[in-house]
Amino acid sequence: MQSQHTSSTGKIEFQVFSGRLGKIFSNLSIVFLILSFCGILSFVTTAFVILIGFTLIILSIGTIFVLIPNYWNNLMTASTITVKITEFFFENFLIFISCVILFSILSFIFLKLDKQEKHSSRIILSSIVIVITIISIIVFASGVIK
Amino acid sequence: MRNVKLKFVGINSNFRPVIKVDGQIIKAKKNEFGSYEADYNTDNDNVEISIERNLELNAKLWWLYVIISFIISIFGLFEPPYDKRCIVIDCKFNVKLNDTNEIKLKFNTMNSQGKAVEIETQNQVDEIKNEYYVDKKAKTKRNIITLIKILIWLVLIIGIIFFISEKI
Repeated sequence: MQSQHTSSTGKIEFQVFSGRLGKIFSNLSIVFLILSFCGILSFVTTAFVILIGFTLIILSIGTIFVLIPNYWNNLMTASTITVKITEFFFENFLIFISCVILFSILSFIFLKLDKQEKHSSRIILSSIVIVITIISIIVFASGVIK
Repeated sequence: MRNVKLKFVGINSNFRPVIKVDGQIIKAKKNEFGSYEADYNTDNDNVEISIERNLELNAKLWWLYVIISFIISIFGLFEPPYDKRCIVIDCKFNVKLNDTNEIKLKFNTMNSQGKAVEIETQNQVDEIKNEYYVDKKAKTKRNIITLIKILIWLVLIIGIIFFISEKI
């Protein structure tokens, strides 16, 4: 009885952990979906660059201005960098979109493994992400976006 | 063979206790009113009902789960937070069985202290334990994890800043 009890508790603990993994993969799939669209929507890339720039200022508590004296100018002339980043995202679109599919499927599997909690909204979200991804691949493969 | 009908009120997705009858974990099914029900058959004259809440940080392999989660979620960036309050439930009842046995357990709102469950039944009940309490061990683990994460992030940020300053 004791061993049965122990293994059952271990199973529950793993189910809770798989729920956590499912949530992580769900979050990652959304992030990679945004990244895969960054190449198509250049303004998103600009916003992304500025966001990272501001995040670095906040996280370094302003010390970045001491370490990189012309940091602000560099950030403001981000348009040239943006073009390069847009190209990078566009060239690697298929890699990002593959990651989205992979993470969505993993999220779906891990969330289903968690029998301790129902993750209906997350599962629906993962399904929607997979559908959007498939549509994006079809649009990309048909050559509408060049 | 005696049949015990158990009903649990007040369980939701944020609160998922492990319910054991005579040491066996029982699976309860949700009914149309949102509460949970379970049936248990036994030859004994009494049953021991115990209710626990397993926190993620109290798992046997918690350190491994934490490391895996931290790495996969890109240094904890896309990781859901661990339970901040670390409130656990500790309930144990000894119920003497009659011919018909219907036991209703109403869960109170989670508090750092106080009675966890209200029990409604025609049977004779011996309350051994019935309380909510803060698991200090889990809370300490959570604080240590947060501290380690902050330290790793500081090292990463310093590394990134130096990398950028070298490039520009």
